[in-house]
Amino acid sequence: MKHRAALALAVLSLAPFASFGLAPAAQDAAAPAPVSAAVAPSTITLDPVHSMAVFRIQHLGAGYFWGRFNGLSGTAAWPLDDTAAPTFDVVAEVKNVDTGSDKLDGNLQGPNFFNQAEFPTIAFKSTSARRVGERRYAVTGDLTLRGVTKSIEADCVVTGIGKGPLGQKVGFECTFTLNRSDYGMKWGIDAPKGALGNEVKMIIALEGDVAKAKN
Amino acid sequence: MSEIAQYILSVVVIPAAVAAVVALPFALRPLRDVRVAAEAGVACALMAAFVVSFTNELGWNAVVRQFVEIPGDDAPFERWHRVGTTALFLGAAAWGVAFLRGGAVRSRAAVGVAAALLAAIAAAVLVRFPGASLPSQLTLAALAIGSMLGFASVARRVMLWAGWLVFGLLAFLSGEGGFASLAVMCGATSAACFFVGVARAIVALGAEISAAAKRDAEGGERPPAFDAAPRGVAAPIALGTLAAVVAVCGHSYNATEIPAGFWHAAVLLPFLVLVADIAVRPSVMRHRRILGFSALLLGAAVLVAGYAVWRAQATDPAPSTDRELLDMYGG
Repeated sequence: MKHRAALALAVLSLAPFASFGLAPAAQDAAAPAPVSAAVAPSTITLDPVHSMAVFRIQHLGAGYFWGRFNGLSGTAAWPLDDTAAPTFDVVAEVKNVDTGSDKLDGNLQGPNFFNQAEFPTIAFKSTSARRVGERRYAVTGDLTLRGVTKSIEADCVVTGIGKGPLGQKVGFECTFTLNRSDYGMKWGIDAPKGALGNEVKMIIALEGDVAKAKN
Repeated sequence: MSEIAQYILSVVVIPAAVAAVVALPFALRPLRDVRVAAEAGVACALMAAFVVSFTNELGWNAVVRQFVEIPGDDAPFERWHRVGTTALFLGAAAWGVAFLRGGAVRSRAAVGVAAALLAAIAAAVLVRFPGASLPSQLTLAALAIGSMLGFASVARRVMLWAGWLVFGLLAFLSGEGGFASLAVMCGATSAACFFVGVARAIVALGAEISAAAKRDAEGGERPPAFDAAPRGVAAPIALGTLAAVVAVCGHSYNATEIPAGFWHAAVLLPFLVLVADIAVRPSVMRHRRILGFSALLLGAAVLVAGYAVWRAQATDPAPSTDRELLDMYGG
């Protein structure tokens, strides 16, 4: 009984902070239900140090090979009370591809793959979204890769709302799969046959700073 | 056959074999006695190797979409595809140059020089890769002229072997620069130079034996032997221009930042024959082909060794394990 009372007291003491997203642990574990009064979407400036895209592709029909793009930049918008879907405008720079091997990074930046010299960035801009669960959305948007723009749907989750030294931070994780041949990146699919898979799984981890409201 | 072997067959061996088959009739009678055909045939065959490799690697759409929109084709236009178009034009232009030179008996040399200059200027004006600037285009033109001069005069006697090594080195540098497609196309051209060189050497050897037998049987003067080196300027113009364009292309897309000097040295390799000629000319005039070829081989080996040393020195510093507090906490 004594323990329950202490727990209730602790929960009550955190409640005011939780509504403003200042208690990360509680936010992650049990996200609050959307409130009825809609709040304007907060503009979130992506933090390149903590935003990255990880990709996975099959090598020689055998293992899955992972690489990542470091330093994603751009913006997102989302009302912190989850009353509307997030929007994203994200850019990755091809020069930031990182596989752990300089030589492989060079190959991926070359014309056979991302062609960094001609297409230095990869961009995603969301166009619509539908809610599929609490803090979870199917986000549709235009992915521009190697100068080709195609619509894709990503499964996006709000991973948490936290507080950093400079203010509130929000995290998202989006997952989708694409066929690289759709973007003219065909080397290794048919010639040499099966050197690399066509299907690429992408996991985009985003973290950004919530813009402070102007008085 | 493994997938990789099939790939190499498709983009290197078959294009080189096509070149050898196309070039062979121009080494045999009656075509080898037709000046225009003898001059243009080899150049056309060597360019065909590059074009066949290009189209086997990327498909004809990669050439066609540079000129017209293809219905249902949403693949991006990429500037480096100009190398395929360059080879295609050079193969066709070889016939034009040979016809003009064939018709201009008195000013044959002038037509050759004009054609070489035109090829260099056209390459500099029409073939622009990412980051192109006036200095880079002037470099392209200068490299093309230098390379043509190297193939046409300095290394004429060993032209096909010089082509074999120049494009072999360009293939090596392209591969090292993360540009597999360009590497296989250069590899195909290099192999084509080798195959055509071997075929012409065999024909020349046959002609030599036949001439000697004829002289022994009939007496009199020894008939002129067949020269294994291609005649005229069409082949040097095609090889020199393509080598320069490939080198500038490879350097422009070079993600691993191989210094431009390696690319330029590969293109200008034929000039080593001149060095060898000057160094030992008085004593071994009868062995100039072997001497020239040895100089080329030595130069290629030195370039690869120099590259290996550069690569060993150009290692990135180990990534720092210290992370700033702000990075950790999101400043």
